[in-house]
Amino acid sequence: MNATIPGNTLSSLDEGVHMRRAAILSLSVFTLLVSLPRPAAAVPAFARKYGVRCTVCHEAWPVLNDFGRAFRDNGYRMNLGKDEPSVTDPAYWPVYVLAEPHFGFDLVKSHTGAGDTTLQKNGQFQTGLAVLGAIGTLGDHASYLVIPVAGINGLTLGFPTAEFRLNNLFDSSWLNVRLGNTEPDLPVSRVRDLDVTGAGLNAYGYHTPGSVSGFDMGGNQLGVEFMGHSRGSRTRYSVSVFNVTGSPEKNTNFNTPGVYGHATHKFMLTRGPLTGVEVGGFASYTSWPIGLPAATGSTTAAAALTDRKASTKYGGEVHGWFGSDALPVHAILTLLQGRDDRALFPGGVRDGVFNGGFLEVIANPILPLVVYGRFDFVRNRDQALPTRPQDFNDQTTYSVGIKHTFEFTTRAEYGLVVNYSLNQTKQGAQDGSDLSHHSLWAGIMFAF
Amino acid sequence: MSSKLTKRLSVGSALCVVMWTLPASAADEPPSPRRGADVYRRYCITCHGERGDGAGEFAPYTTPKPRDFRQGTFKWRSTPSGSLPLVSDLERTIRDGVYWTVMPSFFPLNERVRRDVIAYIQTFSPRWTSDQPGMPLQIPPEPAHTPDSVAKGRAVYEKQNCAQCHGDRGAGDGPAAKTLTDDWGNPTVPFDLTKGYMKGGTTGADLYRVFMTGLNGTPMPSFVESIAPGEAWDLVHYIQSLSASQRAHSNQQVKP
Repeated sequence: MNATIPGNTLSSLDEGVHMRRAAILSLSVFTLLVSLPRPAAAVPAFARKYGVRCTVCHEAWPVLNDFGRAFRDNGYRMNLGKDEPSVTDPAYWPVYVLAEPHFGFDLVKSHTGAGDTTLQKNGQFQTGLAVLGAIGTLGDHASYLVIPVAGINGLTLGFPTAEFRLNNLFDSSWLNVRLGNTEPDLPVSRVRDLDVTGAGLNAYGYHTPGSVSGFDMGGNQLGVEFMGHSRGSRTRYSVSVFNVTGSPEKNTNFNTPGVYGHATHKFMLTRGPLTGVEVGGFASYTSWPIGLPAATGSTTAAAALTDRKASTKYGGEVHGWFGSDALPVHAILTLLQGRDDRALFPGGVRDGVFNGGFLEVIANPILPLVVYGRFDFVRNRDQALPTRPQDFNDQTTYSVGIKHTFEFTTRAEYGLVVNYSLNQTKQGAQDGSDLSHHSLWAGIMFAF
Repeated sequence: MSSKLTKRLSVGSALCVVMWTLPASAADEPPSPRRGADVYRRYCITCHGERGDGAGEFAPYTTPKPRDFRQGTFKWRSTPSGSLPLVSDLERTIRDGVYWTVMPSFFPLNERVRRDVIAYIQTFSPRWTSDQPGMPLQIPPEPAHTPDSVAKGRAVYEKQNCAQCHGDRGAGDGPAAKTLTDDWGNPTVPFDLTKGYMKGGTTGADLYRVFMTGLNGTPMPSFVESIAPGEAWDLVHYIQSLSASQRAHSNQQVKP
């Protein structure tokens, strides 16, 4: 439990206000994550171009397998003379459509000693995600990806993902440069996440309560990425330099810089039930201006804008593939620690530190069927605000789902998805009680 | 980082190392056609078809056509013309792919996956139980690539009448080019030797192997009886000279 540290010049601030703000912020962020459309997943344009099913690149759509990852790392190229637009059938267009009409149900409750209170209960049919994307190669050394997204019920439109990639600079696969607004190279991609309820992978974007930093490691970042890989992408690295998305200051100024790095190596096994093991490490170091209210970007003296404080995250991952190589059980353990500078917390007296991570299992017993589950946690270690209990805003998420693909061809794919998740937040409700959020997603995904 | 997290990461990493090293010390598992069937359904079926007949859903849109595995006839071999290939030949094709075709490189996959799918492919043809692959071609060391060697190679090219199909300049536009068909009656075109990368591999040895063993199921014969090994290397050098990029890449592997 935290104790008040002498020298806390802001200790007179109203703790209750901060707690309520943190609770509202947590709920808002979670709701936003649930409701935001997810961009890229599987890309049927490639299936048409190369005459392959989505199963060739996806262990379980949209999760990439080794082949798919190597294909992506090569700049969406097979590297066998069939990649460039000049050798592609003129009738081929590198566009695709994804849609996810479904029924969504959400139940949010707060829990006190006196009983449970339902805060939200909502179920409705939704058109959900609708993506019209363009992706492909511009030449032997250049690739692109543009994904405008029409969101929930078509009410939003944006370009959350757009990138231009220079491949194999100096004829080496160890140097590729990607420019644009894209997701960093994560242990488990959020845009390729099997979970469609929006729950989980919380540690990517988490900050100890009260922090004004809005950096989300799992979100798209506008900047440049340098990456390289061995043949077959068994050894990979990625370093991204970007202006942190969501910064209250103007993105164009590049005044809230961040850097993210990730390296992995996969060991292929030729005997026994374990067919592959991948280990990796990642870290981010980002800045965030202080003196501004979170996510509003207004009303503070200009002098304060020049002061930036650091937020770091670092951790490791282990992947294991069991059973048949073609129908694997894939287990992923990712652990990380996040630390925000005390100055990022109005009234903070020490750095805010949390541990987090997740254990995910994806099973593919037969080709059209995928069963998945994930346990996800965030545990605060050091609250920056001294009067808060250590477990304030701790989060635990369970997610299970099943996806059955009825048809997959070289042209299109559709399947049924049922996904349930439960997110629990310690003292996450406005009245300081624990909060739980049940989500159910049942519907069809199709892509062509 | 907290000591707990450090401990957990350390234990996880140690377990990985143990799991990695233990199996590696034992002999590799024998290939499994059953597992190979799963691999085939995931990666191969759209071109080579459910029954291995080369009539998958994408086959009508490809040239050349995907291989029909039922005859046990394979292009890319190190074995004599008409013979079954070695498993290592099939492994090479699956691992490296076939340039200029829709057959991709499956190098990113586990070696075990490739062996398993080969075992499954072998179930499509009874030849794999009745015949044995022939003795693989012995390829002598490559001599120096000199202008003289290229000139001699040009003479071999003319003597063996390669231009009949591949054209005088190797562009695949010889007099017979438009009349050729494969063993299944599908039209086939001679390879344009000026393109650079060759289908069957990018090294000089790959090229040597192609015209000394021929491509089963196609009009490309074996010249092992009519070209001496030294002449064969001259021919390799001549063919490489037809494309500047081919020479540049002649000793490199394609790396998808």
